[in-house]
Amino acid sequence: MTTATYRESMRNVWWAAALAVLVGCGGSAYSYADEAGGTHGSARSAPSYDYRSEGGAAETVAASAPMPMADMEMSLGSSSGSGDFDDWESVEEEPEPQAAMEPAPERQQLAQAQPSGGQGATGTATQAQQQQATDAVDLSQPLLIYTAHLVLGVYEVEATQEAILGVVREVEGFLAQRSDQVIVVRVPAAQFQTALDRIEDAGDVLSRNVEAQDISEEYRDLAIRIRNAEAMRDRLERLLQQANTVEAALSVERELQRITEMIERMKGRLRFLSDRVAFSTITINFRALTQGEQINQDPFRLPFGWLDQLGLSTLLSL
Amino acid sequence: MTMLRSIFAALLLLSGCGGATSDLTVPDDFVVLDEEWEDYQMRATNAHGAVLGVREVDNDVEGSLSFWVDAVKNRLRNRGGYALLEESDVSAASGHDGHQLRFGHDQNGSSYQYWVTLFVTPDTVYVVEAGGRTEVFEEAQPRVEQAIASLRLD
Repeated sequence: MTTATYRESMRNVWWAAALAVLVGCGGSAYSYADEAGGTHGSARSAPSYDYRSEGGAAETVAASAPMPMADMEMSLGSSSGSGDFDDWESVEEEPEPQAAMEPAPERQQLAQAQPSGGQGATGTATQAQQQQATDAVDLSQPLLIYTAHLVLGVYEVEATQEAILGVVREVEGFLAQRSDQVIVVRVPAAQFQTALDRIEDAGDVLSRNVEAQDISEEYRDLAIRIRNAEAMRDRLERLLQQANTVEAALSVERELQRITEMIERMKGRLRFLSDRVAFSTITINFRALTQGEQINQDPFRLPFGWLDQLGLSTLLSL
Repeated sequence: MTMLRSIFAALLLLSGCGGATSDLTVPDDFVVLDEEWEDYQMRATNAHGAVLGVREVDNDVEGSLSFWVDAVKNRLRNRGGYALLEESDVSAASGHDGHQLRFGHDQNGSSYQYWVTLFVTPDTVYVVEAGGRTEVFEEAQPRVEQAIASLRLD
């Protein structure tokens, strides 16, 4: 083996090693710390590696599987490196403050960047309306997804549906789905209770189920994972620029593609959660009541005779 | 608009209803029915079957507007088979605040609209009713709204 061949061979070994460390051997085992200082991740037994990004912040990436070079600790020396492996140097593990792991403000806005665009083809909200409501997600408060399912007994299903849609429009919500007996509406979370009260007034409530799901932890974790993955993607891009063999470049590109797809999936999930937090979902099932059918068989009767004379029969009897 | 003023003071005095009076300008295409009604101080209709009616009821129990609104709402929804489609606050031309309940109702296979608008004074509950088959009433709706807004209470 010539010296040149040997150097080339060693160069590829270094590339493989660097890539393996960066991506945690292909696993999705990001380890990240939450605000309380706890650590999340699927691989607890593997060692962790600290990478210092350009901004000085550090993310922890845990290897999910035994690694041939598990004791390797590397950091990117310079963002404007020469492109040679000499720019990588071994460093001692350096614990970083947990605060560095918290989502940056710009990352917190990530999920609010794009609304999901409504939940059905029959949705009537404009993108602007949804964007406005989605932007209203307050990350300083617990993130709750409100959903309600109602069964309403009504005498006029269609007219009642129209009345409910009027209420939904007033609170700047939108129709997500409509059929003969069911409508699904989305309303801004801040207007959820108001809308629910008014919808319940439109008929006799035969059944009611209201839920509030706290997704604060999932949302925060997701934001941190995205941040870490984006930092990793940035490093891979730099690695790609430094690659000087086809094999190394292809290897980095494959990993880059995988990370990018993963980031998009996580961003999609974050947008979905943002949308669900910003807009509460109310599903109303209608049960048509027949003439004279009384849901409330309350024997109580006010002692005012004129109340009993109210109605179309009296008014229209000329 | 032909201004047909329905003055009920004399009728009220005759019927001993405590002297409450109301005055409502009915729409052009409505006629005031010149009869003495047992339950109504005035009724008017158009040629297609949209009807307006005004009741004046002693408020002996001094019920508030919200009390009577709830009473009417419960009566019609729970016992009358009416669906409350919409409700809103309204004002009379005389400045009195009121509340309007808009109901839907199916009758003999047809869809009907039925509005009840309430104004309450310490002595009297003014009940303005309006209704008719949906297609007829919707055509008359803007004029009915004007008529209700023209109500003057003394």
